[in-house]
Amino acid sequence: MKRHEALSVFVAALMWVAAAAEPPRAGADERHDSASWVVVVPPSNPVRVLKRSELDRIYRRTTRYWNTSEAAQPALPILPINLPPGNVLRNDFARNVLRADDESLATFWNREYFQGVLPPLVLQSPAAVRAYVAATPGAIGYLPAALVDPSVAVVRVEEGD
Amino acid sequence: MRLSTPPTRSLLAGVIAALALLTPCATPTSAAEVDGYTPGRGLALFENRLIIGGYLAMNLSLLDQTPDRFAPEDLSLFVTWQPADHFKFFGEFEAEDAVVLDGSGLHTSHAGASLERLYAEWEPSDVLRLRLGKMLTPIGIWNLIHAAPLVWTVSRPLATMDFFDTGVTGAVLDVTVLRGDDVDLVATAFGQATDQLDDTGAPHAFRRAAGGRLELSTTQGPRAGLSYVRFDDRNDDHWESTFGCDFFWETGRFELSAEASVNDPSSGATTWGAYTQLVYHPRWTLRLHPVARIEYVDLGTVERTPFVFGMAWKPSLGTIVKIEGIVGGDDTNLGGEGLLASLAVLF
Repeated sequence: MKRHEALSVFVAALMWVAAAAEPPRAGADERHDSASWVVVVPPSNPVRVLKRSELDRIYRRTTRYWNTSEAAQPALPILPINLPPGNVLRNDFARNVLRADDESLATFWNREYFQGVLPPLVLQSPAAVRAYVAATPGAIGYLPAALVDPSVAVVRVEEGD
Repeated sequence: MRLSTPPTRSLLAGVIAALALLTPCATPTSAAEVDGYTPGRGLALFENRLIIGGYLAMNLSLLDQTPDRFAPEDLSLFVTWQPADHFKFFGEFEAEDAVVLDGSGLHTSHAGASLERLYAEWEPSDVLRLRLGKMLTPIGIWNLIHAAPLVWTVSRPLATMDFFDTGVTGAVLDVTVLRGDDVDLVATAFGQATDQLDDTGAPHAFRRAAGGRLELSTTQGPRAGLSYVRFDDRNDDHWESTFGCDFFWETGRFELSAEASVNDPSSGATTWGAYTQLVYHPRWTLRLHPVARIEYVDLGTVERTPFVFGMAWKPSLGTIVKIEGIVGGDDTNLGGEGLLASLAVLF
């Protein structure tokens, strides 16, 4: 066996063994406590119901324009808003709507970034999300239910695809 | 030493000011709240309408048929500018092999720069998108995400680059012909009627080309694509055809991908290549991803069945460290068998 071949076989075998031997992260498969959130849009947006799959597409930015019955020309861009990574509400939203963990979402967004598509804007607090959504046509965000006020309209999320 | 002279700074300030004037403020939210630098997502300015980012890849190559070498393989810069809601400009500029360390020592003799992509995009709705300029040829999976931080191995299968030109200068039109709750069918047509904006150096280079792609994808399930291109090959002055098919499925902790390409020249032997790659995504603290890939290539004069096995480590979400062994790679222009390693970072 040649030197390079032997070296590559040795290194690869070592790493596969290391990966196989590593214990799972404690609690990695456990579901966290569910947070109570609601999806909100500006009151001027007539959308009041979205399927989970539609919300998934919006937050992955594969659906980028509102398709309202008013046939606005041109179509109004959707501006999805996220809370910061690690936020309990964001984690719960990602798990239940996007059905993905941080790493798989990062892989997804790395590939989109290469195509010039950025992930949703991140605002630092639910209050900032509410203010942004209330003032921005096309915006959509999620908030703790207790923070909903008349400046935003709640969108019901239907389960299933 | 001053890295930036006052005239340079003035020019930069002028460019940014001009872009600011041309960029409408679409929202009343403070730009400071949504702009700024995010590692792996670039520098956002003007309420995310101007994004400057890129990636760096450093490779170590220890292959038995080429000299050992270590080099920053790619330094790539992306600029995305969205002056209006439905219009976007995108550019990718790449510096290759800026500095190489090999048997000849440290040198810059292979340094080069290229224009990978430069296009204008118009997207009036979710079902229609038109791009004009230089783009990645929409064939297969790998060619569209070939950047080092986005793929799991240092080496690239020949099936993803040796049977068509990796770039197309012209127009690419995407039409979503079917959109269900969980399924999309996207038809793509593309064509090239001028010379390439910047030669890609591909073995089969487009002088003129017309092609199409159909991609069926599910939101969180498999996706599959069929591609075809008919082109005038600038390298041998013949019209040729390339047909491709691809498949991608991420299920549970496994990611399975496969591609095949067949090149049919008007004269000479048909050549083809195919690969299948499996990646395991463990729920482990170290974010280690074992990767295995088998490939078959028939280049007419040689056949090859390289097997790649390795590990990708993602210490952070925009960084990937890869190491892999290649066996069965004799008698091709890829360097043979041995070990490859790289560090790639999105910035």
